Amino acid sequence: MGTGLGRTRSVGLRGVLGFVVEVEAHVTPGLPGFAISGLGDSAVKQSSDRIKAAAALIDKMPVSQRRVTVNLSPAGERKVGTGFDLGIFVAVAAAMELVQVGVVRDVVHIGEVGLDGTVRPVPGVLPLVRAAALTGVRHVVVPVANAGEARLVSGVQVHPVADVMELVHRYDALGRGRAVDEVPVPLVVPPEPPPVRDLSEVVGQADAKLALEIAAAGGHHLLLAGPPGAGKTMLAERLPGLLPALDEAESMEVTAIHSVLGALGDGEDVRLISRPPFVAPHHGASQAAVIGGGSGRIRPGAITQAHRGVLFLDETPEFDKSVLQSLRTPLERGSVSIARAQETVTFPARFQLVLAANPCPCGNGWGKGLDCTCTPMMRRSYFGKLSGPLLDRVDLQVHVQPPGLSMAGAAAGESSASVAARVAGARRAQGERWRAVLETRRGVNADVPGSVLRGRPWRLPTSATATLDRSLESGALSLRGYDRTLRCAWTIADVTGLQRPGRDEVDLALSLRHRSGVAA
Amino acid sequence: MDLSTRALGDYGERLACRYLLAQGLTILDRNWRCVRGEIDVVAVDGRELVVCEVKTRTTEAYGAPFEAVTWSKQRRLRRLAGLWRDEHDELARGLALRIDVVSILRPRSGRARLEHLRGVC
Repeated sequence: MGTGLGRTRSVGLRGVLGFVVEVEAHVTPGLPGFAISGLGDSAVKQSSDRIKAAAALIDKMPVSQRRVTVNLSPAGERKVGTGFDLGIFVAVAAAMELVQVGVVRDVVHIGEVGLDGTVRPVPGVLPLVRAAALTGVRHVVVPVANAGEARLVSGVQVHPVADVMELVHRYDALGRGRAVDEVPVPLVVPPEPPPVRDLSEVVGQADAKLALEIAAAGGHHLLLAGPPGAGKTMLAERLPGLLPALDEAESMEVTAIHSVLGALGDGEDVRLISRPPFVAPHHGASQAAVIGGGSGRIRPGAITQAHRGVLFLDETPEFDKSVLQSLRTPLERGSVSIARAQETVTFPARFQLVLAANPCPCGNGWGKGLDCTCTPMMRRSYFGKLSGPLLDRVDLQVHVQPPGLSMAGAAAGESSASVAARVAGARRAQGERWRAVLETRRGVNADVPGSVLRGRPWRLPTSATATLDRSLESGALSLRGYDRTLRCAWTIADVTGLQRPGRDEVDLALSLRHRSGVAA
Repeated sequence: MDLSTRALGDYGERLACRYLLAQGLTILDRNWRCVRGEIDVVAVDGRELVVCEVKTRTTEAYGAPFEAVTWSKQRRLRRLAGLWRDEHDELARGLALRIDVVSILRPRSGRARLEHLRGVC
């Protein structure tokens, strides 16, 4: 008879980051019972019932007739979900001497255990395995269905497992010094990637396309205002295609977020997400859905899903005012902290915001606005929701006119690929220029403070800013608007390959700020 | 409770008492009843007052006998132990309380198997 003590490891999830958990099991011949301590939610508590059923299938593992105490350490950290099942099972098996304690001690186990002993996939395996790898764990056991995802992490050996019986047999063989085969992972055909939306499909809209290119190049937030059917959504959907691909660290971050959301596929063929994501929540979305939150487990919201990508709010004025206002801090900080009485979770949320809005509630208030049935009051309150602190951050505010009949048969415009090439060049130039100011290699014009642009050595000569200065003096433009125009002018210069913006660039930037219906 | 179950329980309790006596315990009371329930055996083991629950089964098909002692039954045993002590103050004075469970598995053929758990709750 041994000590009745078994231990192994697992990983818990806090926000979108994992933390390694020590799983200890103590098994004694007392009155039967199964207690799990360590601040688990009800899914963790019910783990005991699943494990009892699965263990009943294994000889020499009469879990339901023993007094079992399991502790998940650090015991003060909240633990959520069914991913601890496998770790608890293995710790109990070690305590009952079915597997050798030394063999499983430093192995991380992740997975849900079914009543029939199958090991089922859990969400968030990528960040979990990554956390394990970062703390120096060498071996990770994951459900077969999560194996592909787990293998994206380098530096750990991933062992897929299909059910607990087989796992016990393999550990037994390993303990006796026999070789064990890896479980083959079934090949799942990955779903077809959605068709790439190309900019050439958009007819006309030269102004809006230019604005889109500038937004992509300079990382500027964008507001598209225009009547229904003008192509605002169509344009916005094409923005991710213009953005540069994610680098390796960014891909890992974005894929980890999608893993937590359960948005990655199963099986072997899981790839890192290398394109900027595009997220378009419906305007009925709650604050928890957009910012993150929810009861029990705190889930990332749309802004975190759009991390390193594009968050598109169609019909922006229809969103709840509180939802729009809650975007302000994340826009400023690039992350969002959700505080609860028990814990605070911080999610990354560095996204490019694209807003789309009708000019007025009825949608006809464009041009001369002859068909518009809205009262001036309605029009004001419609945009009133947007103006102020939120629009402060939106550098580009353009009007999209509906394409005329003459445009319907026009030849296809420039393709996304050729625009993306210019964008990539512009991004390189910005990274070089702002390296000292922004302290990053991938800085963009949108992040540069206005005071830097107006000060030395980046101040533009008066000859270049003459029109802009006049607008400021006449009161047509606020100082905030002045800064935004400067930022865009720099981006236009970068796109066209100039060292510095001249008068043409500044004037173009100014002209892209159609003001009707849009607050300055 | 049908007759055979009753008979089996009595058989188990007799067996348990014999076993406890052999272990050197002194039996104080058997099948003590009050409105809140019943205590199978009360005994003294040195300086300890032992309240003992006896579980008898013929098969393990519905789980081991010990598994029938659920959390709520343990709670009831604790409460009953207190009640017994109140009623038998002169016998229980100065003794620490201990709750034991004896499980007896008596298959249709072959020897009965007895297990004794001390201090379960």
